Amino acid sequence: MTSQFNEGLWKRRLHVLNKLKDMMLSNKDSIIHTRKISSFLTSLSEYDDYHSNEFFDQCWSLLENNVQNNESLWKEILFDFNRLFVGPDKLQAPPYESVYRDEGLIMGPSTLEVRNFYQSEGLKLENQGKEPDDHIGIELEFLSYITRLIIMSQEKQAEEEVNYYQELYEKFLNEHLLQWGLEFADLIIDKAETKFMKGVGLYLKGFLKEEELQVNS
Amino acid sequence: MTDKNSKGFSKAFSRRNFLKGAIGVGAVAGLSSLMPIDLGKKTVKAGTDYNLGYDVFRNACPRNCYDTCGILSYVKDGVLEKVDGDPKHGFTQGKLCVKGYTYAHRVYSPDRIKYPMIQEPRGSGNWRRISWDKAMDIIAKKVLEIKEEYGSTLPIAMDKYSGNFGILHYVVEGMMSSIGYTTRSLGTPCWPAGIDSQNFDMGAIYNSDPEDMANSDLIIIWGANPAWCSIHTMPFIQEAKENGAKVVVIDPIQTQTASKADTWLQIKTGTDGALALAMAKYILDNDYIDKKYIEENVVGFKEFADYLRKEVSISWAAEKTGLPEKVIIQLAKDYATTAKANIWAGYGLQRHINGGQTVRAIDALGAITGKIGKPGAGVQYAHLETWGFNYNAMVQSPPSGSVGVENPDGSMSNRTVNINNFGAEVLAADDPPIKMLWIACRNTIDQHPDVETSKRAFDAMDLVVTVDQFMNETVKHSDIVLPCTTLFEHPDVNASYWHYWVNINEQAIDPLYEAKSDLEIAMALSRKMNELEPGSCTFPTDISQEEWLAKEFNDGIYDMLGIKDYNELRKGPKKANLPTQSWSDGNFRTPSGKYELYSKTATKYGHPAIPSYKKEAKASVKYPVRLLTPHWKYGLHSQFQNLDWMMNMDSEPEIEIHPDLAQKKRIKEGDLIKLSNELGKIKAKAKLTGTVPKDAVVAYEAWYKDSNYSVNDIVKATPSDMGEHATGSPGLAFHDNFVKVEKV
Repeated sequence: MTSQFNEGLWKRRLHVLNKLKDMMLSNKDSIIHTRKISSFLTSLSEYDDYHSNEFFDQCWSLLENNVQNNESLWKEILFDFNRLFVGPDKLQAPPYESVYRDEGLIMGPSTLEVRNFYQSEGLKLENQGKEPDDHIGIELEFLSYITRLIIMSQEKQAEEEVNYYQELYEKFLNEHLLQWGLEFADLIIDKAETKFMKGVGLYLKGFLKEEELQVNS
Repeated sequence: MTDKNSKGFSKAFSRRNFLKGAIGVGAVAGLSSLMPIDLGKKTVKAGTDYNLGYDVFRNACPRNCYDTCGILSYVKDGVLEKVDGDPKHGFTQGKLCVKGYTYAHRVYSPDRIKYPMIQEPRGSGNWRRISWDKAMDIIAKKVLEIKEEYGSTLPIAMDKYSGNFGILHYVVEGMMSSIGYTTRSLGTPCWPAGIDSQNFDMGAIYNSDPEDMANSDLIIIWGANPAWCSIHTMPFIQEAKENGAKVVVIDPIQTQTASKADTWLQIKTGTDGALALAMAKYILDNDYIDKKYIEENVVGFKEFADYLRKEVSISWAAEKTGLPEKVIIQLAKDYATTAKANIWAGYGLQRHINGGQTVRAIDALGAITGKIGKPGAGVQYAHLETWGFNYNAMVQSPPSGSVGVENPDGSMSNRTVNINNFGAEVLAADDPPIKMLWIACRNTIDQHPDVETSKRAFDAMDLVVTVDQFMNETVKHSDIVLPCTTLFEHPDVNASYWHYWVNINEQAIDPLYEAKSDLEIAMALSRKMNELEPGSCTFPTDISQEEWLAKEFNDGIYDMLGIKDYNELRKGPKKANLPTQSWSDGNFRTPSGKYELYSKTATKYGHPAIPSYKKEAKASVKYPVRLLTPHWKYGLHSQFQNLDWMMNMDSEPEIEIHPDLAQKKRIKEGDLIKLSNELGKIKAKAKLTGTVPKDAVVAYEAWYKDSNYSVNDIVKATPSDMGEHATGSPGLAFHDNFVKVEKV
């Protein structure tokens, strides 16, 4: 993956990462959430060439007729989102890495490994200690941050930095997101009650499958 | 990890510098949840690093349990990694029970309620997040609207009980008082009959130091199961056994405690009073009474003796209890002739329509043999001697001009509904009606008897607010749920109703997500109320939780604990310097100042003046099998059993049934069976066991994850005989409940 710099690919990655991270983070305000849904749907039609595997195809066929300004649908999606990731009931798809890797609990050893990753890059979670560091949205945000650094380094033609951050990207993906992301995405696909959230699950799965392929090639 | 990352990394390149450059700023600008670490500050939390890199905090298990354990919590990187018993706690001695050891799994369960949320509509399962500010706004506006419409806040009802017995948790009552006169659930479900009994007899509940059991030569455990429900008393009982003491367990069920005893007497359920009275009769007839003690300390002996001579015989008791006469005689003789004979009257024993009379009859055994106040002896039930805090958070005044229920003297007070008939009384209230519920420290729907009536009461409300940690039946029927902190996320102080120790509860970690303590919630509500209508809430808002804690202590508590400042409790729990044996000074708190076998106070509540047999409850033709719903080993009421470790050990409820009864009903091990009565039905798998009586089934009260199973679906709100005097409402006769048993 690091041998050759493909600027277009990184820009598309950044786009997908940003859409996904915005989508996965929970908001206090339902209006922001509604905007997110709308923006996610709009973004599906962009960067078609990245959407190259069967899961993206499935996502697209599920959602292409779903793009409509319909408030009751958006509410339904919000409730579904909360059932999956927020609560107050038992989460249908807990969005935390350690739940999949450490005895089903939050704040496990893998959470702290993720925290160390952020720390090594001079970052910390704003709500550290209150919210788990390994929430899907935050892991995606970290990758998006690294991706931006890669793109900016390339623009500055800082080759060492480009290589460093590409390696870091790969390492975080391999050691963390890919360790649980696909299981998580399958849970979303399985448990979602709305087409939209199923689509989000497929989109995440499509992205992770693509990354897995890239990393292992 | 940093080292690994740096492999093959040019020394000339510093990422820190890189971040400070234009590129870094651009990249950082895209972040929403992550932020750059301020390199000027160390992020490591200050604390004494004396335990392998852990910060160690002292906590107290605040559950409704005899033991109120001392806990040490081990925190690293702000994460509670494990809990252990506090070896400095002299009663719990460094050990926790199976429930206590699960605490980290409770704090870090992904299922915890994380944010304030609103359900649209109630019961739909459609929840969305709201900010704390918005939640407080909705609630405060509703309170003000109710006050406007009805002229008082009486339509607002609170149901709060034993989810957390920390002293600062009485803030929930304080918060309600600070908005005006409201409606409160009054009473306690599980122990009032016994409380009244001991109040009539001795003027208070006041057990000896349970550690004194180690000095006993005979221990009668009567209707209690400490092997499950007070495991820290067991070592003291064991110590007595090792010194030659005999242990007798009287229980309809062969409990784990019974299986460890020298003698287990399987009494017919609800007839314990007959056994106690027959023992008293034998003691009287054979002149084993302590005349000197009676003369000096007891009033009403003559009346009691007359009653025994006229109404009680060993043969009558044998028939009632199902115990052979010679067994009753032997027990009476052993008890009377052993100076250090200790009786532990459990709570199960008094959850009957005659439970209060039963405890009075048992108390009487101690009185007539002069065992009250003597080493290794006495009749133990509970105590509140170490609970003399200020209740500063609880005692709040309503805003001036508040309207409540008018008393004869013109003063105002809150309205009460019986906690043990909550749903029905909420529905029946009509002047004014109840429109809003505030639920805290309570799983109202699951834990009150008659679940359906509770649900109907919820359905009739304009607004239901529940403060909780996990989704349950009560939250499901609420409009707004507010996430609350676990015991590790707020400061508090805890006393026990059994042992004599007092523990501080230190805040060990930050509250998870947006959880707040009941105290912080009260302050937040007050801020919002006063913002909307200045003066509408009197609850102070500018005091830190630590300051609130400090305000709970007084000189009385300090003297009792031998400390000068509550911070000394951070070094370890303290034991109250009370006499080892309660009532050893002979100063009873009754009107006469003596032990009252004859109690005029009892007559005021319609009871006979002396301990008397009250007929036990019997099964009907339609519902021929008794349903016993005792406490469960992996749960406490509706807490703990839902956690992953517990679910791994015990994934679903079972109904215990005697093989003989099972055979009659053609029920085999593992068959799905149905229990039903007038209220409804519950279903669970049958577990055949000879440990339960032949005329009863046992279904433990516990709330399982992902299950709406609740024994209270078929538990009627049948009152026990006593409780009104000391607790405001009679208790519940949980164990006088009858059902039909069928194979599904």
